[in-house]
Amino acid sequence: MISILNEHFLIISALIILCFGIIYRFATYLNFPSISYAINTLTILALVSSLFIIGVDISIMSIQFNSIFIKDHTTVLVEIITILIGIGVIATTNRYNQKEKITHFEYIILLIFVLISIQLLITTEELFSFYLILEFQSICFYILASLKKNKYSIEASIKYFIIGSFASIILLLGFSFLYGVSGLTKFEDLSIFFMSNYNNSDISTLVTYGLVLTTIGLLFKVYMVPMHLWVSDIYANSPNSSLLIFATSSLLPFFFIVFKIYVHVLGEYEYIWKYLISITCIASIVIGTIGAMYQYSIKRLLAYSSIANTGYIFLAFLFYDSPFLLASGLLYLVLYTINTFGLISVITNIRFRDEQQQETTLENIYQLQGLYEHDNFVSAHLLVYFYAIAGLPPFSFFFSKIVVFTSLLYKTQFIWLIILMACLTVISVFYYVRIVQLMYFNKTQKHITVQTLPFAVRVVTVFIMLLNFTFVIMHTEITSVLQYVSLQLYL
Amino acid sequence: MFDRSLDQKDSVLLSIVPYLCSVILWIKYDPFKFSFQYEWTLEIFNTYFYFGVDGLSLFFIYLTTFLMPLCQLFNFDRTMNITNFLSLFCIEFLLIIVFMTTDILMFYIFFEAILIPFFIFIGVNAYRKRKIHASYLLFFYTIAGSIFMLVSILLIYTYTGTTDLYIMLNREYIQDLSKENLIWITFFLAFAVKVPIFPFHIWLPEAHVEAPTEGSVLLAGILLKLGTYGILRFLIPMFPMSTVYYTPLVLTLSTLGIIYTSFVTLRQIDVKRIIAYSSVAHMNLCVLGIFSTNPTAIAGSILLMIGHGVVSGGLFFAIGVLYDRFHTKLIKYYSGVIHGMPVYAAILFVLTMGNISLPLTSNFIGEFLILYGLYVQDNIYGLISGLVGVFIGTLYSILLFNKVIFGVVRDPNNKMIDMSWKEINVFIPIIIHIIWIGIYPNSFLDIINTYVLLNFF
Repeated sequence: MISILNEHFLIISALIILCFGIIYRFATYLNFPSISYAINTLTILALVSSLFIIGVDISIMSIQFNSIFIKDHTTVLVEIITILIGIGVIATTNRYNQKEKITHFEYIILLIFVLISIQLLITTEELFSFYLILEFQSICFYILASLKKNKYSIEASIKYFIIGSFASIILLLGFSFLYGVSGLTKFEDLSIFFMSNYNNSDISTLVTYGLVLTTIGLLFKVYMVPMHLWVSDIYANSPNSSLLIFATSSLLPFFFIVFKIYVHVLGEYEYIWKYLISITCIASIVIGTIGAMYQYSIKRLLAYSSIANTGYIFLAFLFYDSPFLLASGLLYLVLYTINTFGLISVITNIRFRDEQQQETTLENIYQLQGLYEHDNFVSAHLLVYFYAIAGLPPFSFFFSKIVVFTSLLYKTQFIWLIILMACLTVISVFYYVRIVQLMYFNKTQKHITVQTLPFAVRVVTVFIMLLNFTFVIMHTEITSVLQYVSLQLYL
Repeated sequence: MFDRSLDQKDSVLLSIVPYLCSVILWIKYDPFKFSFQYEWTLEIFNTYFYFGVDGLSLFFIYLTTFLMPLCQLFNFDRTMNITNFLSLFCIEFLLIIVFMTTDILMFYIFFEAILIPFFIFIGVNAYRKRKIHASYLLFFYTIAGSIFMLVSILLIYTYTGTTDLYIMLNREYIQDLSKENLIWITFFLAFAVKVPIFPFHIWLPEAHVEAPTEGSVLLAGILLKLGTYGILRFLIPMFPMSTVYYTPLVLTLSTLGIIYTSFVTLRQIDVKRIIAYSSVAHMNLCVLGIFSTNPTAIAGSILLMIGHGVVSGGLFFAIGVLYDRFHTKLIKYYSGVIHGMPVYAAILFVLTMGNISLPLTSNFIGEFLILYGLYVQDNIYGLISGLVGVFIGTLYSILLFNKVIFGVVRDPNNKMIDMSWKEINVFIPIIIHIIWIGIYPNSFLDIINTYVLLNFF
């Protein structure tokens, strides 16, 4: 039981923090005190201790609840990364939340719930627990999107809610096809069933329906083309602190679980899903790259770039037969998560103040004009992040791009795809370099001042920037870990 | 983060340190040893980086470290800008790594990475609206040219399992000539943009006109040599069969380039554009020499690269001096500079003589060796185009010198102040090098000859 102690601990600490918040936030005898500092401290304490709890059983592989949840080294790695993301989110969004009057302590509670759902999501080995946990996570995201309480934020939340539930229902329909064929829900049983009934044409037809419906539902959840149209609205209108959570934390566990479903369970039907996924990946790369060219809102730009990068990440499904090639996809995923985290946490904390002492956040890229003259630190960091996400050397993201290229080159039929991706990389460099040009080349129009970043954000961004620079030196360390993880995905 | 009171004096002193190191490197270099020297493997976290210096990279490292203190010295009187300081030293550091590395992927990484500080350097220091256009051209020509080289490097990696130059040179990994030709084209595109060979040269005059003086010096002095360095280091040794196959194409392009850019230079009205186009012509002559398959011509090309790095650097400094006083680069506003600035006129004269490759200057030796090699190889069209290039080079250089220096003073009220000692100090080392290479080129050619004979024949 010790191996799911971590989840238990997080659930209990979330409930305790919730009780603490309810009791003290509405305490009339204390005149409704502001308890964000106390809540943040408590949460960071809880997360750090949960890191220790993970560290206790790092070498144990365990099977829980009648083999619905299975923990191994892969899940431990993802858990560690997500908890680090959680600590980073609390550290970097504090000032933004206070200035934008997102003082609800529910933000923190929802964050812990998201972390719990991620930890359960990657350990699950059963279709319906997967569906339920995914819904749990999605509901947290819907509420997080609406926290700013202006009409745009609520619009984003409702859009997210309607489209998300629509996608969930399609996903559930797909799962029910799989269940209806086999009467089974566990991944292991299902894979044995499909393996033994591979030649049965009735079953194959029904499974094909189920597979297509499942794919459509999952594409909604990871916003890949053609189910991507709504995502830029949600990125642009939800508060930055919530964006930081669902842009960075959702993709990592999702990749693992989708990989399990497709390769382990439906591995016999790879001739169907290989084409489905590769076509959507290529379409995502093309549309995400070209769509971002005309975006002047920085969050919409990020949305399109995330569409393109999701396409690159899910290209790893083409390498499902080789763990060492799969590691390239994982490297891309991890470095994308880290760089996006740094970028969004800097963007969140840039605040301009004009002559009337009006404070604004960063919305449009033209607000960045002449940032270099105001704050060398912020502009240097944004420079590194944008160049990194553009995939230019010597930053870390360049290496993830070349390992994807190399993996595709090992499969000789994809040479045209590499040429296409190389051309698109040049196109995508254009709009990232445009931002650098605005920061360094142009002069500021108005008299504004830029507030310095908070100390915690400085620490986080300097850390990520150092990682970006030193990845040339230490890439074997990280890739060997990821190769181990991808090997374990096959066991 | 940094102490803001750091002085320009400190950065001059700081930049002299690598120069002294490279001088020591040259002194201790053994020209009779037939391989990379000072081989040095850096092992950090199980990652190996291979570095080494041979007869080719030694002089480029020397040139880099030689021009950088002069760039810092040129700005001696100005207040120091931390971004300029960082980007200049980044450029120097990355260039030294590029010239030292023996790993092709590392070469690509740092070859591209130089763009980032250079882009920032132009953007922060230039002043006109056109700078955006110019730096975008610089950036995208290089990126678009070299992205397919990256794909080829990775393709080679899938064949060999390594990106180390040593192993690749000692192994046949591409049996198929058509595939080798395809890979050759992608490599050539990347280097041709940097040289720049004729159809890819548009970015260079734009970048030169918009860049500040130090940027132009570094661009003409070293960054252009990255292209020819890449050709010599990677393109020819790694794909000898394809090089033979494509030699007529390259010779055609470079002869076209020499004649076209020489004639274009005659019609330019911007001083910096004249020097920029003349560098295109000189670099195309280098490429002609490299592809002439003659050891003398290849040695001459390497010497011409070094000489051109010094001379064009000096010319851009000279134009920078002029620009500081008159704030224009258009040739028609200049006249009679000799009446106010005699010392400047003398220095510009020496540099112009260097540019037209007068005997006793550095470029003469290089161009003579190239033309000699072309003559030996019976490459009559190459020889003629080289001679035309040299002749028109004389024309435009003398024309430029004539229009700027002689004539009547247009505006007597405009006080011309001659160069101060600080500015003269920038030019003294350059002139010493020009005449040194012109009179005693053997100090360079001894090492270059061994390198060329070992690596190409």
